[in-house]
Amino acid sequence: MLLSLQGLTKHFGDLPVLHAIDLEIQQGTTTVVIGPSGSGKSTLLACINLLEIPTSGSIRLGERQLRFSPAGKPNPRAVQAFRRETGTVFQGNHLFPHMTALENVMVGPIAVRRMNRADAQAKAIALLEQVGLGAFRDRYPYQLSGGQQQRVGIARAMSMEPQILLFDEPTSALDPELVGEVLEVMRSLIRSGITLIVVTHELEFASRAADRVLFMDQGAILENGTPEAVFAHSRHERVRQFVSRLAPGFAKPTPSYSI
Amino acid sequence: MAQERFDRILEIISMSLMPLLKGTILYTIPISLLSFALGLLAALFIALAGLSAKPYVRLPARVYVWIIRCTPILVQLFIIFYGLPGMGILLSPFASIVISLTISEAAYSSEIMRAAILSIPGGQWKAGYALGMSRSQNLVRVILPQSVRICIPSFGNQFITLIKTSSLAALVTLPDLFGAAKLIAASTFEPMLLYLIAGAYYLVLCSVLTIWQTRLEKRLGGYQT
Repeated sequence: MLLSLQGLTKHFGDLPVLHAIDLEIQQGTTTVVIGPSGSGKSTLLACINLLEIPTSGSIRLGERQLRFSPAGKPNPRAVQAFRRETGTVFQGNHLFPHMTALENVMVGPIAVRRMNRADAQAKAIALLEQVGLGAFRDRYPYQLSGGQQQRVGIARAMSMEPQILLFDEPTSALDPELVGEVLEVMRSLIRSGITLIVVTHELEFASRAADRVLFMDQGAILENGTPEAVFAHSRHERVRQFVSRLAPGFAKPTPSYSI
Repeated sequence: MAQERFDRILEIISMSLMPLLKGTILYTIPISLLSFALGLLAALFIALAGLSAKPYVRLPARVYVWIIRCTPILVQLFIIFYGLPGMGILLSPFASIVISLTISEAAYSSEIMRAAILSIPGGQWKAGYALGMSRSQNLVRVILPQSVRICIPSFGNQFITLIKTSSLAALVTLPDLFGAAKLIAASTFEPMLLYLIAGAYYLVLCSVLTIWQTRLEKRLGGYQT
């Protein structure tokens, strides 16, 4: 297993947001997380890249393992080292507005990996080519469309050569006609064998691209299976309702009435 | 106006132009530049300390800003120049004015910086942390470059205010722009004339700075969020 979470719990103050999550992610797989808003999907991602420090439980990613307890915070250096192994693409892209597309993709390797400028630049150019933005490298974020910004965000997340890429609703803030180009880049990443965890409402994408689908509800994983199993054959009424509301005709809900 | 009076005015103007220029170049400008540079440097540390999560770092910074902002610069200057010698600390007039302007500049500018840093959206911090940056790397690479652009208009204001406040130097015996005018006014009994000339000097000086500030804002405002 590339990533395993054991008993991962997160409280915001007294409010429990994640309840003892157990999860195993295999190398090279794509996991899509769905669920109603407030179900803890984004918090789960934030706990995997440690932008939120879990309250208790443990995370292992590759060779690195961290345990959490309410008693004390983990060592900041260990947290930074752990974050380097994960790449994150945010809903609102959070590109650095004072840097060009190229600089956005270079800054991580230069600052964190101490890579020299020439190498970082060559690598950033290759990554921008990979997301189809080679010609846009000297543009500032405000000179790019939402879809292009998000693709730069993907290239930036890739720049640290993470073991796992996390996508937090990468297309939710985009105009509908820009969603396709971002999903296309994500499909090409999947083909290249990278491990992905994607929080999204794009069920179409999930059903075609995901190896596993997690359904989260009230801070717990209610369902964990293949797209087919979750979308079409879920035992949970909650899941069937959610899927049919999000994509009518997509799932096969059992009739709630009979003649 | 009588011809005699007119000649007298011309004579005083011509004899005061050079001393006032000298006061500007030797005192007003160096005092302002030095206090501003030192003040900004100190302000950065005070702003960062004021944003710290650790109370033993944050509280001293907040107390400093509180005290300095709530007492007049003139009082601070007199404490340094007239008060400290009583405790055996004797500072030159030049050092006294630079120190007092620096400590007040640091307090005001640190508040500008603190506000600018707080105004950067949290997503920027997150994006830096997600790349594995430490807090200080995040500050240097991501947060401060964006904050500086927000600060520029206010810093321009601060510097213009500082130029004018530097006239307090005259009260600790320095012949700066205002001090020179004061001396000549006293010896010629022409206060109106001399202080008008001094005012004109400040006006020109600050107008040049205003133009320069506008240019700097345009140059650094090369991106939008």
